[in-house]
Order: sequence, then C-alpha cells, then structure tokens
Amino acid sequence: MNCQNARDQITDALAAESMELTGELTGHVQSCAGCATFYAQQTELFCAMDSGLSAMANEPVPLSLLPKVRARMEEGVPRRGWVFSRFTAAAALAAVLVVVIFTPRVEKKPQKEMPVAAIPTPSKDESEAHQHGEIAAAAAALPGTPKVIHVKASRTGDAKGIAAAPEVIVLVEERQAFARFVAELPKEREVALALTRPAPAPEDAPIEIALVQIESLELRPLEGTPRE
Amino acid sequence: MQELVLVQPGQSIDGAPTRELERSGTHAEFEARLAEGGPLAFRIAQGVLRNAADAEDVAQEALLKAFRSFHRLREPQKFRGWLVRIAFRMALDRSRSAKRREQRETDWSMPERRPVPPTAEDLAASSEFQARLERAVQELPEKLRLVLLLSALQGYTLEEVSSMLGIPTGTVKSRLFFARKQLAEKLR
Repeated sequence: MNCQNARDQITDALAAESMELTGELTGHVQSCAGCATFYAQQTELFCAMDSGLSAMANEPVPLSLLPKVRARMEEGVPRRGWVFSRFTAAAALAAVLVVVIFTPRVEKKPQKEMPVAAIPTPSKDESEAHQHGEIAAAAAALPGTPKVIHVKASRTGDAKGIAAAPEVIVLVEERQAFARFVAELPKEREVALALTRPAPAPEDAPIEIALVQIESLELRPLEGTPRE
Repeated sequence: MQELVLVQPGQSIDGAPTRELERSGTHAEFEARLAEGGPLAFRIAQGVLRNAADAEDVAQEALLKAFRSFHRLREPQKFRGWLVRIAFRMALDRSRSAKRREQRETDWSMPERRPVPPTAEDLAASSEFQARLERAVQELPEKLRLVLLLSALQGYTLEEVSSMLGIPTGTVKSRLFFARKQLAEKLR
C-alpha cells in the first residue's frame, strides 16, 4: 500500500466515523511515520470539527422565541398567502381582459356634428320635470327630424321623462316660450331642419380688401362755424 | 321517533362553530409540537445564518408559517421534517439577501464590532478554527449542509434525520460522509 492510498483511506474512514482502521491500513500506519503523523493530525481535525459542529448546531435557544411565537399565534397571524395573492392577481387580470375585449367601443362624434351644446339642466321640482317632458314630447313629434341632436340624461331630473329629450340651456322665464316654440316646430319644417343641422364650419379663406377710390373730394365749411 | 336538529352552516350540533372548534384543536395540536419545533427551527436557522438575532427572526417566521398551514398537514408525524425544510429554506433566503450580507461584511470590517479576542491562546486558536469551520460549512452544497447540521443536533439519530427529511438512512449516511470529507479538505 502506498502512502497516498493509505491517506485517502484514512480520510474516508474518519469521514465515515469508523473508529477502527482495516488491518492492512493499520499495518501501514504503524510502519510509516509520515502516515502515522497524518493519521494523528486527521483524527485531531475530525474531533475538532465534530465538537465545532456540535457547538454550532446546539447553541442555546433564546428564551424569547416561544413566547413571541405564541403571542403572534394568539393575536392571529395575518395571512400573507402567496397562493391567494397570485390567484387574486390572475383573476383581476382575467376580469380586466374580459372587460377590454367585450366592451363595445363607443365612437366619438366629431365636434362639428354637435349642433347643440348639451349641458344637463338641474330640475328641482315636478313642474320643471313636466316642462322637460313637454320639450321632449315636442321634440319627439318632429317629423323626419334628423337625429343629430346630442341627447344626455339629466343628472337630477326624472330619467324616464328626460332620457330621450334633447337638452338645451333655457332661461327659467323662457321655458314656456321655448316649449311653445318646440311645439310649433313641426309646422315649420324648414326652420326645424335649419335648427338641427350642424352649423357650417368657418372657412379660413383670406379676405380681400379692395382699396377705396375717391374720385372727387369737395370740402365745405360746416354750417354755423365762423369763417377764418 | 327520531329527533331532527337543524344545524346552521358553520355550526356543530351543540351550537359551537365548527371552524372555531377546528381552529382550537389545531392550535392545541400545534402548541404541543412547539416545544420541540421551536429549538429545532432556531438551530437550523442558526446553523445557516450564524447570527442569533437573524436566526430567531427566521425561526419565528418559520414556526408561524408552519402554524398557518398546519391544518393542511396530512401526516402529523412529518411535522419535524416539514418544519426543518421551511426553516432551512427561509434561512437560506435570508442568507442570500444581498443587503444583509453587505451589512454583515460592513459590521465585520469595523474593528469595534469584531468579537473581543479571548486572552488565552488556546481560546484564540479555537475561535479561529470555529470561524474557519463556519465558513467551510457555508460553502457546502445545501443538501450536504442540512444533513450535517441535523446530524450534529443533540438528540437526533441518523434514522430520525432520515425520517425528518423523508430520505433513506443510507442517503443520509452518504451525504454525511461527503459533507465531512469536503469539510476536512477545506479545513486542512
């Protein structure tokens, strides 16, 4: 047995915690001073290692550990639940996707096509709602009126009565007159059409200004002014 | 004639909420295991982290994590192994945290925070060896390290370690052998 082989076997034996060496190895260690020294050193190393590991692994446990754990158990440990969090996140993402995919897209009309600025008017009592109803009924009665009027439900009014009515800003004292005007509109079809058509877009063409030509100019003194 | 009892959902026949009963039962069962599990979790964490405060933190979190999921544990006899794995994994995570490592290194580099060297030469030598040993243990592969730490724990046989980890005793022995051999090579 050569020394290198013997030393490997010594290390393996000590690593395997076997206290006794084999017969052949024992013979080599007894006959070889170098291997005997190596064996002694390795035995000492493994002993120190074992005691060090034991010290590492068996350090005193802090007395506060268990009371702290018990206290947190009693107060109810907040669930952090990563599984739940992931599930929630996945569900939220799926919901957002469903909403995005299945929501019909509302095409915004260009601003030019909005003939009437639709600003909801708050109605506080029944008479106002009734007036709204009259306006709505009158507007609905328009024959062949193109539906380009922007309709918006009032925030505070009766939704059923006003939902289909065009909303315009009308002064309180002019409401009755406006209602009569709307009621008269079916008779004046051209007026109605003109009112409901979009206003022509302003043209930005340059304006030509011709020079003013004065052929003859006669200067006369004003009457009653003293002559110089 | 049979007597019919209307039982509300979540209530037992005698009126006590079932969940509460289950919870208190789980609580008591967990409490019974806490006396052994606490030190075990701490020592595993301490073996990885080499810092008592961090190890206590990790042990506490590991125990609470185990408590939260205790009702899902089908085989109660596997509690120790389960807890060991939780504590070991959490300790490794903590150890890998770059900030903590950086802080530790900073602390170590500050002379006033270094441990006071013992007066006796033998104590100094032993302290130096212990530091080398700890570094060498940290460099071991995770599987070998865990087996080495568990085997070094007082009161646990190799069979208990194998049942804790759910691996055959032969595997525990071979891992322990390779761990000790590698450790000796590092310390030589």
